[in-house]
Amino acid sequence: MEVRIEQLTKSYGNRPPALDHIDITIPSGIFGLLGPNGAGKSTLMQILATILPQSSGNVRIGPYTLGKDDPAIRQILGYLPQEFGLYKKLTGEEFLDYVAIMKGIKDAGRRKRQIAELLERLNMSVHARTKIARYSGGMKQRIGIAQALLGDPKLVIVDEPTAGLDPEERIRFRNLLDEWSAGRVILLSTHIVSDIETSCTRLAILRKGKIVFNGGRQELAAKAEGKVWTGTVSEREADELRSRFQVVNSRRTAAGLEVRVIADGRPFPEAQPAAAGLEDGYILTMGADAV
Amino acid sequence: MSFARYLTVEWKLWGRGPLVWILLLIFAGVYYLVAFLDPDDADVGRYALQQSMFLFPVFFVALLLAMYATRREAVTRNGPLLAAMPYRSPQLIAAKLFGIGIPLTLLAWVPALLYAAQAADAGVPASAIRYGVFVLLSSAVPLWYMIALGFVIGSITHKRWNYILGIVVFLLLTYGVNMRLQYWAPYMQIADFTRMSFFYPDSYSKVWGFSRDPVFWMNRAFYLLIAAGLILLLIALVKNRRGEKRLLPVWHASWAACFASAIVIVAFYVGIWSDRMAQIEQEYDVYRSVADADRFAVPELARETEPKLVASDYDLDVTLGGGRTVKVKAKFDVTNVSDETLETVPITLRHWFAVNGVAVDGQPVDWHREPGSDTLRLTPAEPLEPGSSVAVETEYEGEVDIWRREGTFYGFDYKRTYFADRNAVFLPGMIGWYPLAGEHKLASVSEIFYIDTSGQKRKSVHVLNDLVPTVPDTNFSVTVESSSPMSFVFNGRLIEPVRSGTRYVTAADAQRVSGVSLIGGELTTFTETIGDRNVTLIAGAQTDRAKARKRVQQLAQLAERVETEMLAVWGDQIVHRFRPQETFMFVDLNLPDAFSHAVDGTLVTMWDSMNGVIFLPENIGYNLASDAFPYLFNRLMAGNRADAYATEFHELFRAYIDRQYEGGEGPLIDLKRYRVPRTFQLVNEIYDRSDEAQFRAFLKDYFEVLSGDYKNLREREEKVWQFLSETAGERP
Repeated sequence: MEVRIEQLTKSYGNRPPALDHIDITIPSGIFGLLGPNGAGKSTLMQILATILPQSSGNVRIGPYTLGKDDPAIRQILGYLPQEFGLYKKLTGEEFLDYVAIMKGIKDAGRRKRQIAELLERLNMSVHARTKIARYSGGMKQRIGIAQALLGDPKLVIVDEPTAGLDPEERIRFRNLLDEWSAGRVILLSTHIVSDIETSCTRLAILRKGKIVFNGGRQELAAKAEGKVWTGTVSEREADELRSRFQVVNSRRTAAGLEVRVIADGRPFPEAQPAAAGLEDGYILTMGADAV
Repeated sequence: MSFARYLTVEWKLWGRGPLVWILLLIFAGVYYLVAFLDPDDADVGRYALQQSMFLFPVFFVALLLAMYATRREAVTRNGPLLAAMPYRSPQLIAAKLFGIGIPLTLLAWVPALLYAAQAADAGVPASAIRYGVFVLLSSAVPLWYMIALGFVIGSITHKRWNYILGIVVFLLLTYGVNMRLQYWAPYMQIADFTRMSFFYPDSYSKVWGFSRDPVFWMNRAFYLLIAAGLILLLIALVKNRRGEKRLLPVWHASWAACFASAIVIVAFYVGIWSDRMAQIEQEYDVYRSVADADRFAVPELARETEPKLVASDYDLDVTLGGGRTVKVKAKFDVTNVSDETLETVPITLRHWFAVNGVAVDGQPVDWHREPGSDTLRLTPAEPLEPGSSVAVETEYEGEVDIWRREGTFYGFDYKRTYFADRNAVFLPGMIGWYPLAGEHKLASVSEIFYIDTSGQKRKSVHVLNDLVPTVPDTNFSVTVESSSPMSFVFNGRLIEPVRSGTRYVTAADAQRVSGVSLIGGELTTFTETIGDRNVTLIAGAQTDRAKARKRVQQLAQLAERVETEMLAVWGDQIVHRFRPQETFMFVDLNLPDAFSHAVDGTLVTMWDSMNGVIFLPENIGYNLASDAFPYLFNRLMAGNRADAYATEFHELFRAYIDRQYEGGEGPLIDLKRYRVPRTFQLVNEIYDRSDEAQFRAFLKDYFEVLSGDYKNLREREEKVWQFLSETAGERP
């Protein structure tokens, strides 16, 4: 099972295309999609989830062609949009049961088992019979994740799935995805690099509707190899560094500001070389658009 | 199974929270207002329609709920989430539709269920109940039309202002249609999806019950098809958008077929209404020459009482074709009662009927009729000498489906008046469905004025009024052959048909009656005998039996008391007494004026008209004594110089009769009930100071004063006041 995207374009009237001739092949496993807001991640996901029609290009999802076999694609799809609502008058269990029926799980026993298992895995069993109106944002997000995973989908598209989750739940979710990824395509869109760092073996970066990177985690990190520097500077020096280099992060300490800078050469005399990470590669790839 | 689960979720979504309780409270409140305040429950069918008025807010709510259901995913923001699910759109849309439709349909059927129970309790025949329930259940059609429309409007945009659009559409389809369209295009009543009785009187008649008119069912079929077409179209669009292509050709064919059928129905509907309108206009053309003034003209009425020709001993053989065709073979004798020899014999027969042939004394004769005329002129082989008689035989046939424009308080309506259907026949004698000897005017055109709905413009329309010829009593032998079993009322008796092969035959005789009406259908009669007199009431099948029985008892008792007391007051002056058999029928159509004055001021009554039945307006009944009293009083007063409209005197005399039979103390007339108690105060004083003989004499004198010749009302009032003051003064 793989998803093959060829020359995919999505345009809205005379505006610049939201997606511009995208070519990616997404193999089984967790595939990360990184990019700033407005890069086109959600548009790509909605197209793959059969919600939006593409303007041009071809997408093959396993044996199916997007735009021709949409009902069949929906049968193997689990989708969690970035923003979504739930029926507040239903309990979490009722909502998942409703979704399970929509997904064609006709056997009541199977539905019940799957729902119970997912609720357990997402630490929601206790709240299963509480109305969604009483759920916190994180609990709603977990119900959203559960509905995406219901029905044993072969393609899971999750758009910013960890938004609103506390660190513990985030780890729980990553583990869940890891377990689920065998033999399935999981497309994970996020702007949180650490989500990708721990889960994805391959990823792509979208910028202004175009793919600017498509490769493995190490490849992305390697792009920044030898260009990452750390050190402690004063506030005034930090401002100067920001105007000249890409500052990945800064942290205030008793001695001043500890900064992590990407630069071809040593950016300030006290700077020490550091091992490059995924975030460094991402920042380097995106340039000024990274933030 | 999925559908059932979807439906369960729909009901959970609707049912959890206060909305359902708020709506139920509102509906219950409206139901209470329309059903229990001033209930019109003597007629169970009418009462059921009165209850159905609560459907108005139900229709409105259905529209809004359907609109919300379509935009619910936008409101709850779960649209993107659900859109990627592999559900089948028809199932989900159907679940939304039925989620709203099933509970509201059950609500819409409440009047039907209550009607069935009330009608069974009131003794309405099972066949009438079945049809009534069927009609009332069809209220679900406009409801589903509203739901479908709500889905369509809701799909236009998910913005909130869409509700304003929905409200505007609803107002246009209800108030807009009812207030404006009937003036712009009256034959397009199909534009009103509600088809509720209070807007269209032809939907229900207190006599004939629920309408069997095809246009009612065409209206229902039209909206059902539109609703189905809209839903199928909506599903087709959603399936198309989601790429669910499997059933598309079937869906497209289905919605297209629905709309095409609806258009065909509208075409038929317009055709029927156009024909009816043309018939109405044609009637005006026929009778336009009979000036409105003639309707009330004294000479006309006077002449009717002095005919040159008299018909007698009718033998009428009527065949009802099953459609609207009435075929009649008529035999009767015509006598020249004038002192002239007549070369031609005029016969009056309604122009609706085409005459196939006429024979006089067994020999075919030449006859002539102007197109559209009600008069046939026969030329017998020998002139008709004074005092001589001939036997006339004629065959004629025609379709009877007569509609009239009828004035109402807000303008006018179109109402079916005379008809011959498969299940019901209403051919009163006055319409000239059988030949009358001599030349009679059967109708005239008059102009009625009304203020239009804007309350500004004074408008007028022409309406047709039937005249009632007065003819001498004679004998009738009537045989009716029909294709369905129909009971007929003759001379106060309800006669059941006898089956003859595939046909049904009803035969009846009536001796020495002024005329005969052909009244058949789902009717019932109630007879009350007081002394040697029978009073019969013909009532519709939907009438509450117990209430109708009470009504006829009251009527008989009132007639007896009025006659007894009037004989006691006026003695031999009362020449037109009630007959041993009097048959009354309350009808909901424009009745001819029951009374008028002849040249010499004497009261002329149409009581002994050629109908054989005394028609009274159907609104009499809630207060039978006060409403029916003037009719009974004037019938007995006929032939006397009398004021037919002496309302105050009627009140006084009725109060006197009440006191005579019901007893009581204190003032004769309760002064608090009347706006002008000045004269009544004097009357009460006179009553207190008089013995019975004195008061009867006073009543006679008082009526004479009222009926005098005066220049104007003021003079009359002065004379009345003077008379009452003097009489009171004479009895200290």
